[in-house]
Amino acid sequence: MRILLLLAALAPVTFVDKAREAGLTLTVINGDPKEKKFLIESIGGGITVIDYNNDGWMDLYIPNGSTIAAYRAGRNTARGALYRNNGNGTFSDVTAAAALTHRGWGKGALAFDFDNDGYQDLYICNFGRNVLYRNKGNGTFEDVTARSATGDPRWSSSAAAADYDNDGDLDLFVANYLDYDLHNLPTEGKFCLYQGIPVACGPRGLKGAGDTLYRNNGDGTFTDVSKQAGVDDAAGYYGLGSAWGDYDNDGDPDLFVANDSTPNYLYRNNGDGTFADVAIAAGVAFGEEGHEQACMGVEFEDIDNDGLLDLFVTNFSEDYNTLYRNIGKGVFRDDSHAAGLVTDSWRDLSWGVGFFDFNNDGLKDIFVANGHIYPQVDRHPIRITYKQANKLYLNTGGVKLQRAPGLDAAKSSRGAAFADFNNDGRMDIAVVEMDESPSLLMNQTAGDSHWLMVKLEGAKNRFGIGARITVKAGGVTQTREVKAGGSYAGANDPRQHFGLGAATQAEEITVQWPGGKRTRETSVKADRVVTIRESE
Amino acid sequence: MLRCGLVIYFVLLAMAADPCITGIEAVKRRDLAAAEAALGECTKLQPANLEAQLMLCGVYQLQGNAAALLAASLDGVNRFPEEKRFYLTAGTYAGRQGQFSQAAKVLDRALAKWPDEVKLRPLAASAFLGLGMEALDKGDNTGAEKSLRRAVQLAPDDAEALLNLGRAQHNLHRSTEALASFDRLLKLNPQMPLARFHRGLTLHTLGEADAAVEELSREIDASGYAPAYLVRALAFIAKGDWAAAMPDAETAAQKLPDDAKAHYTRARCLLRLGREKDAEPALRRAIELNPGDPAPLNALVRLLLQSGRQDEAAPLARKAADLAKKERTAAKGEIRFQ
Repeated sequence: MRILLLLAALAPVTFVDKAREAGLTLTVINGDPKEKKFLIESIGGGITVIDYNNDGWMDLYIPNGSTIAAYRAGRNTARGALYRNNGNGTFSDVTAAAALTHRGWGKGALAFDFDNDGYQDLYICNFGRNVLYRNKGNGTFEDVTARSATGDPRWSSSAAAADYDNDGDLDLFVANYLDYDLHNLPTEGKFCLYQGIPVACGPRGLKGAGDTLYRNNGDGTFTDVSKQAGVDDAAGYYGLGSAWGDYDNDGDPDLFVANDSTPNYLYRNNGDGTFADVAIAAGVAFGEEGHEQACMGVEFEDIDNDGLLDLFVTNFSEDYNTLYRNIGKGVFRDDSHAAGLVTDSWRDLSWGVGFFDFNNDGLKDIFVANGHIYPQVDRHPIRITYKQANKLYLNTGGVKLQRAPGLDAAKSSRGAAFADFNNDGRMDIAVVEMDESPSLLMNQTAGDSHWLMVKLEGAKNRFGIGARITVKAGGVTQTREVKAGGSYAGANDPRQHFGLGAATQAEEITVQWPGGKRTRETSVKADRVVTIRESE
Repeated sequence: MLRCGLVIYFVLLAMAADPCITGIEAVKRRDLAAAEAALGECTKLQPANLEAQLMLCGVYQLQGNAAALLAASLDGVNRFPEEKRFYLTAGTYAGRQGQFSQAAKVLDRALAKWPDEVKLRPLAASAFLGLGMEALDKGDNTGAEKSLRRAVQLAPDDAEALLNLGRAQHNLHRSTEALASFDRLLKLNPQMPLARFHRGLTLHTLGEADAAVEELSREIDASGYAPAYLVRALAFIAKGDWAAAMPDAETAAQKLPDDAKAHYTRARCLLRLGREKDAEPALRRAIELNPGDPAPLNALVRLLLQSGRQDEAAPLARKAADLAKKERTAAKGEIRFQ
């Protein structure tokens, strides 16, 4: 372990924004870029990694917003964009060629293979009706929203997929935010002030929208089972981020929903098609102080290599981003204070988040995308700015995280998606920026640490969503759970990345597949993508 | 002879009947009761008689009748708006009687007329300080900040005004401005009581835990001010140093036995340090002292659930949820729509 830590210290993590050179030029619109008088204009969107053509080069889909005037008039001109990774450092906008013609007020997107054909499909969360595109496997998509009955018409923030009923196909959860009428917008009142500054109203004071769980019927259709499953959000909390993860290691996926200004949900999967909200007992409904936080994004992954999924929730400014460490027996402990997050993230308003080993030292680090929602703060001396620098926290193996220098560019960031875009073994980051083109932070960290990328091919659930991968290398045991959805309103590289430090091979890779099967491989050479298939 | 006598008679009669003259004579005789009556009559009959109004004020002053003096000087302000003395008297006496709003209003008017009058500025500053303090006590932080800002503008070196301006700014979540006020104050008077406490509290609010601990330690060393222990405990918690927070939280709970936050902070430390049994009564005490705060209720619910006491936890969880819901739900008119 000491050798790995030394390597980390010697090789500062370096990111270079290559978005312009790569051709990621889509300007993401979200209402009036200067004032943002309404929450619909402030709450930006996510971004999703998708390998739509299965060429092993990770592509990107970026949802796009609109303006209130255009939306009201029914003439939405902005569209989301599918960028094909050309494998040479550039991307091409293939939206039209892929027949992704939908125009709405996009808020989030999720790549997941709902029909188990081995191609990732695309679900777009909108303010307004959501859209499900089926990947036809020939570079084009078809809109199957009506047929699949997945067109939730509310303000949807994020979606996440998992096989919660263990029937071999992926079910779909959609977190919804507010019951919001663009023709009757909130303008002023007690809930429209921030530090005495008039700003966009809400979400407090406004009515929350319930959430939806679509059970996959296995025939291209879904059934809304939210209520019977117990995840319909009857309390009307303001749902933003969502992620599935088996926090209690009982073999079925549980669900975490990050709610804005209301308590979070942690739905424990009862294994019978129903869920129980155990967030309070588990200690993740509120921060340590006992108050609800304004939660945005979520990462549900094992930060400390103990085989238990931890949680990281991104929050509003003048609060802190919360690291909930899973201490076993279904209980989490808010370790943000000792991690240094309370003081370091106090002025940040944070969105996208991911646990990835950016320096390949065998310990997952944390990237957080930041950006305030009120441009008005720049006109007042409150030490909080609309544009904020993103942050990278290095995991050095102890409780305290080490803030890494270098991410100085201040933008108003929202979603962040993580992938190895150039297949060099170093995890890169795509970030959505408000009212400008995205950032593509290519990881150019020096050093010769080793890595592995594990790609799963499930027998039915083809991307192995929900599988737990354990890698033993150089005396370190790491785990990752394969997920569809997370961060903020997006999804990451479907392959699972492991930094190996000085180890040139993994002594053992174990895959615990959903459904109970187990695959074990030994002496796997480092620095490559390894594909592991589930036996029939 | 007879004609001459008649003229004298009528002149004397007229003199005797003129309350203004009677009043002046009475003042000369130090017959204050007669002077008050006559001059009161005089000012009614001759509203433009400046001398009589001034004399009437003088009589009230000699009588020590502050209420009447204030009323007469305010009357003078209205009737003789160019006479500075009425403003000074009205402002002074309104302030002395705790009528800060009246004092501030009159003195502000005077300052607009005589901006270079040296006596006016400190008087007005004192009136605005009083007005600001009054608002601060009532919880009207916006009003307090406005008045105290004016007080500081009029008397930039007034330490009390600066301290309370900072407090109001802090309460309004304008922490950066509050910090600037405290910085200015400490430059003027590094020994100002409680200045370090309020600066430390503001630094804590700004997320600057190390600086907050340092500042609060100075306050504790200087005055042992009980709330400083509480805030320093919170600053230690923000740094993740629960062990350092614990003794401060203990001290705060001892010194502030009726402070819900002190007991809750102690409970948080106990919970984090694995002393759940001790934490439970501390949580219950915090809830008892401030039943409207959902935070200690939530913490107690979590503790009960984690120790398998679901039945006890359920009603408390519902109560906490109801309290939180009230905080985020708009009543009619609290939010407007286009």
